[in-house]
Amino acid sequence: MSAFFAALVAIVLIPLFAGATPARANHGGIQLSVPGSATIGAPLELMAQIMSTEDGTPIVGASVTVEYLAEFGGERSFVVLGRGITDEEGVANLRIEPRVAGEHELRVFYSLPGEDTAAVESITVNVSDSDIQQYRSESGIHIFGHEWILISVVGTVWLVLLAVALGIADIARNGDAPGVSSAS
Amino acid sequence: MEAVSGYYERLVHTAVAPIVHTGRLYYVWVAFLLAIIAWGVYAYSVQYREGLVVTGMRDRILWGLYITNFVFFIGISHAGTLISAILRVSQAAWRTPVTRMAEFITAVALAVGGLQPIMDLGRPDRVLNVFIHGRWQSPVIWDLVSITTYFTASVVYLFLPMLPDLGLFRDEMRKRGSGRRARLYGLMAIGWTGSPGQRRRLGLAITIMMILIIPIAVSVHTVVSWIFAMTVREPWDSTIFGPFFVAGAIFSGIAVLIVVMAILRKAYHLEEYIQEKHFVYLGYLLAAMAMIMIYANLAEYITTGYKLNEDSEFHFRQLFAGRFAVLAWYYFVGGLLLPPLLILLPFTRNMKGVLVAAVLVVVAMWIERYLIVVASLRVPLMPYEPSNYAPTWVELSLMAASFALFALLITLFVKLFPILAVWEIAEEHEGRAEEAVNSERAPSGGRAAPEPAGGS
Repeated sequence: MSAFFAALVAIVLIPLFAGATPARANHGGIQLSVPGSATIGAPLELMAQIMSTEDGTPIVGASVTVEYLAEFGGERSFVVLGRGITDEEGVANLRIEPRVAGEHELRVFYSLPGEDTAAVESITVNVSDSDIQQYRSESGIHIFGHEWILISVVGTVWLVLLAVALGIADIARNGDAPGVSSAS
Repeated sequence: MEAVSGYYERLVHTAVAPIVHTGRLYYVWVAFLLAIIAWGVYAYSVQYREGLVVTGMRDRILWGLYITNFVFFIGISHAGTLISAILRVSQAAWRTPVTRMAEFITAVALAVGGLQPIMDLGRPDRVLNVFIHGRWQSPVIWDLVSITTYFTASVVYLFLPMLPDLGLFRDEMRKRGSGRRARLYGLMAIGWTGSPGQRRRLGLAITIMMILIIPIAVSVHTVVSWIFAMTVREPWDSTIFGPFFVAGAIFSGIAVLIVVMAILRKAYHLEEYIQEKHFVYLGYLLAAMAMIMIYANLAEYITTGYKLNEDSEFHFRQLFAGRFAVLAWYYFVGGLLLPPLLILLPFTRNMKGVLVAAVLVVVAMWIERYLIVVASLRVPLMPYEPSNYAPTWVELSLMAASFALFALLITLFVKLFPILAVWEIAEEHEGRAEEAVNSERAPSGGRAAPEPAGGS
């Protein structure tokens, strides 16, 4: 009984978590796969393979589009994450960088060469949280020495301040000689 | 020389008076300021408990009174050390009664200004993030570095010329039999006896500091401006923000110095040392800075107004004819045009005229900072309805407490430290007396150059 239950769970869950979901449309079937786990900021490869439903041969030149249901400013809408064309093996690899943790449904549209209509298939991805910095700006100027120029300027100023502080200590040490305490 | 000795005795008496005599009015004033600060502490406790939601700041206009006050106080800190250093470097003979007040305004304004971003954070422990996660590429880090450097340099620059006066106060307190005070001033005077070696070292240290402090002060307000100008937002997208902010800081700094000088002159009867000519000379500096500010404003608004892209048009409309028109026009007319007129017209070129001009400038420069922060943030970045900002009682209370803290620190400073640079004023007076004697003996003789600060 337990073996039967385990087999049932495996049949239902393995395709879901391993990301292998066969689909069939337009005389072509698509098989999607993503890694079992993904992390925010780390690239994620989605592989889509399209094969002919008639003879099982790979379909070359089919277009694949991946969309993700995003929410921004209270609006929910599908956002295109990437597009690709299948190669000789009928495979299109799409590189995605997940930005939000949680379980996400990816919607994949594909159409065969010469066809206007597209079929759709979906797959679920589990993205775990991380503290990776997701975006680094490449804009701006690059100065020779980078921040070390700034650090050395600031360091020089503080060295001068230190020299003045030592001067004050010197004043305190030279207080024994007779003199007047004011300008008069 | 008897006249010189009498002048010196009066000078010492005047300088020591605030420390040895405390009137009832002083306590009332301190209690009043403490009450405002206590209310501010309560308001802050509400903000700490409830979060920034108790302020008028939201996701679109995310800076309000706190950052306005931050820029304002950092600006008036230029009263200060920068003006004092410029006057010392240029050997302006009239500077001596002015410099001490200017220097302590700097230290106090920086201390109060530094509190403002902490209030703005909501949770003060987030300050640690600047140290833990700070990046050298960030203007926030530049700000932190330059302000802490300026504060340290300002305190050193305040302390150095005060050293002979602290020694003088130590001796005066001994003479008066006040052992506790004599010990306190003895500690602060670090063994100052006025020996030639000490005077030489002091002169050198002051000379180094007065040269060093000028670029540091310029860097501070340049970097404060870059907090805005390094952000992609239309009204802040300006190449002249750095010099514009530095000019504005000196402008507001001189104005605050004039106001503080007038109050302390009246409160501590300093009329013999802080004369009308000092107000008029500072008034000339204020008028000159007003001209620079007018030029900077013209340069800024004409170049952006000529091109007038969509965001600029929105900003111009709200500034000149919309929501902020009253404030903006006060700034242009009351803060930039009227003060130089008051100073330059012969019948208002006196202490009262300069004081009125200074008050107008102080108010106008606070408004200018409010417009830079709040009006600029109101320009929508995306096609959404512009949001509005109105400070809540919490922000207004904390603002009142900040100004009360500024006044309290000055009040306490005056009570503890020499309000006048006694030795410098005495040296200047002696120099003038000698000059008068020399000119009597040889009327055709040339005028001797003033002694450098710190004197040999």
